[in-house]
Amino acid sequence: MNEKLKETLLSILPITIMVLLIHFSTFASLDNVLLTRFIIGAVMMMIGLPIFLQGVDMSIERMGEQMSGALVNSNKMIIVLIGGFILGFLVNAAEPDVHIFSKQFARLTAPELSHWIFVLIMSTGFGLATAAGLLRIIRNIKMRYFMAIFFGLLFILTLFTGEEFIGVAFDTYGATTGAIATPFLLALAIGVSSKTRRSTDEAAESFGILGVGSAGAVLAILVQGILLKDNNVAAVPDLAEVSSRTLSHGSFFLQTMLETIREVSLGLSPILISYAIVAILWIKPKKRDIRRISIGAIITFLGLVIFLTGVYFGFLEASHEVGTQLALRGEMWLPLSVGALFGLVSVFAEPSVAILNTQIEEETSGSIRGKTVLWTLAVGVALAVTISILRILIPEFRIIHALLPVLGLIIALCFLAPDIFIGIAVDAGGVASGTMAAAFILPYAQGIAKNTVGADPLIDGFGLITFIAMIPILSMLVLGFIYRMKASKAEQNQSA
Amino acid sequence: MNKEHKTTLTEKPSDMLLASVVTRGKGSQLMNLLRREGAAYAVCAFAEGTIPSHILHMLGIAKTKKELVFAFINQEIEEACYQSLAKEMKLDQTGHGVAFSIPLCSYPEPLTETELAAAFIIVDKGKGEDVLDLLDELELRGGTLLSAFGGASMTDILFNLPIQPEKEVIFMVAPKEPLPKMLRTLDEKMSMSQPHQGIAITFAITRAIGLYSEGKKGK
Repeated sequence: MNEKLKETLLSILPITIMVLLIHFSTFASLDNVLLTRFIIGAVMMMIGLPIFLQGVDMSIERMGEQMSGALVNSNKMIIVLIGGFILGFLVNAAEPDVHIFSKQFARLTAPELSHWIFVLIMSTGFGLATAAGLLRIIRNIKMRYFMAIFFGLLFILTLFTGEEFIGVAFDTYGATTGAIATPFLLALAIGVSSKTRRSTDEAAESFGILGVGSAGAVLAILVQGILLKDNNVAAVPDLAEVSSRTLSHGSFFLQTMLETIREVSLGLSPILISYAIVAILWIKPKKRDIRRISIGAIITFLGLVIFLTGVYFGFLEASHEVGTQLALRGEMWLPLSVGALFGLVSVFAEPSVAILNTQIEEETSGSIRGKTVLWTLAVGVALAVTISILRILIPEFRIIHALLPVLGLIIALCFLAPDIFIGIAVDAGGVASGTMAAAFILPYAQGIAKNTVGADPLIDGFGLITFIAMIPILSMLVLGFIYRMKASKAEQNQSA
Repeated sequence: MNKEHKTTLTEKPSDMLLASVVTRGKGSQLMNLLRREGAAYAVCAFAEGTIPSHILHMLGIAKTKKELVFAFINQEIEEACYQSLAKEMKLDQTGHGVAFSIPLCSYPEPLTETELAAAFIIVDKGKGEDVLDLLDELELRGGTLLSAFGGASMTDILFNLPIQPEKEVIFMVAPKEPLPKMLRTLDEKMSMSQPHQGIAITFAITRAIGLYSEGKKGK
């Protein structure tokens, strides 16, 4: 229990201290309303995070693992593929961020269409890619070829896509895998991988499913954009802005919590329902498992509701306010350096990152340490936020100036890094751009954009998640490359 | 690097396997400690421990993350190893982990009798918890669970390809006396004497530290 407490404090305290430092250093001071809410939010995150992670361990991961058993035991490839498609489709369609992004696509590109069409397109892309990812695991196709093809396609399609649309499309990569989808899909893929293992050194095959799925969703959106031809942003609608400051603490809290409950229920339900169906028909779990999974699901629900309510209640507006005030001071270095630090500490607080790191440690039996991965991601996100803020401050700096080189480097490094790091890297891209990116970094960037001459909060806001998803992939691949150099050096030493 | 080789290989051959289960993250510290004391070889694997708490068990939170360390030592350094385990890893206090030594074939003297023995049970993946439940009924607690692969032959074929079946290994230290009963129960409930149902072996240990005793638990 002591360890858990320490872990939680280490993940939430850095971000809390960072904001408080900025507040007390008077670079950007929060008023009493925001400060109170921020502290309440931080405390709720500290309570919610360990509860959520415990619940995930008991239920979500177990469901993914058992479903993988049901798929594999069918011993029919077609069932694995259809099952993978359905699960990927459902999990993606239930992701709250997917709906938010779809609504924004709809408003930007085709206001006459319902946002459900975009949800459908993204989820189909995600589902197809998930099925392909499972096929890859079973057939033992090397991750490097697989990912090089995916990112190669992304690179080519990007060249043919209107610029405003690129950011929107690539933001999908981050939107698709949230805190519930991440552990479920990871467990599913790891289960399939370990059940079809031919030699014991195939841990490398376990990772990559999240990245493959997300890349599939981005591909689907890009293809759709090209098919529609007129993929330039038609009209930029005003962001409907409702300030919560006029609301009392109590009613704002209640409103936030209800919204979160809706969100979390939506995310959990497809997994629970599809598990229930598969369990009744094929798995026939033991009583012990049923009890553990049900209790775990309740714990997951409670933990995530507490955590997310804390984030939305306390962090969203605080970071927006910090961004606004820093931009108004008119010095470029301030929003840049604070942004980099925010990027760094927000990774520590991201639940999906914690889940991925535990799985990496488990699967590699500790040979790749979670801490190393955590810091690599944190540096990647810090760099990503810096680039995005630069993009806001310098209008000539356009999204493709950074995105194309990053994509090119990713493709090149796919051939230089060890296989296991490629899987981990593409998964990491999806998890790094989770809740904290959407509810802490994005409002900060929008706060800056609104108060910078020549910046458009909506256009510049898009593309932020893109980099928070893509640059950690790059930093993980670089880490893999370093690992490989070190390993080959050690080998040389031994043989000498 | 070279220095290490000298200290380990020129000494007397190892005649003892020291096994230890500690909290996740402490394994490296433990291995370094044993290597410093002169252990010839040390490896670490991830494992899951069971919690002897009924409330948590009811809730389904019955597992904690552990690391299992195996190291080869010889009699001469055994005493020193145990002393530093007690001092630096606090294994002499309850709740910090366990360590015990298994004599190897090269063990020179007749075994000194202890009240304890170790059991090693290998079953198909998913049956590990059934075994733990059976052991629990026999008042045998504190087993450690490991994930493993393999088997007598790669018989399983999935998607037209031979695969390594998943296994689970349960590793535990217990009083000698109920062990024959344990083997009988395992045979009755899980028909272990039939082919492909699993393997259970027990063996003597010469020394142990950090075990939960019934007295300490107050039950």
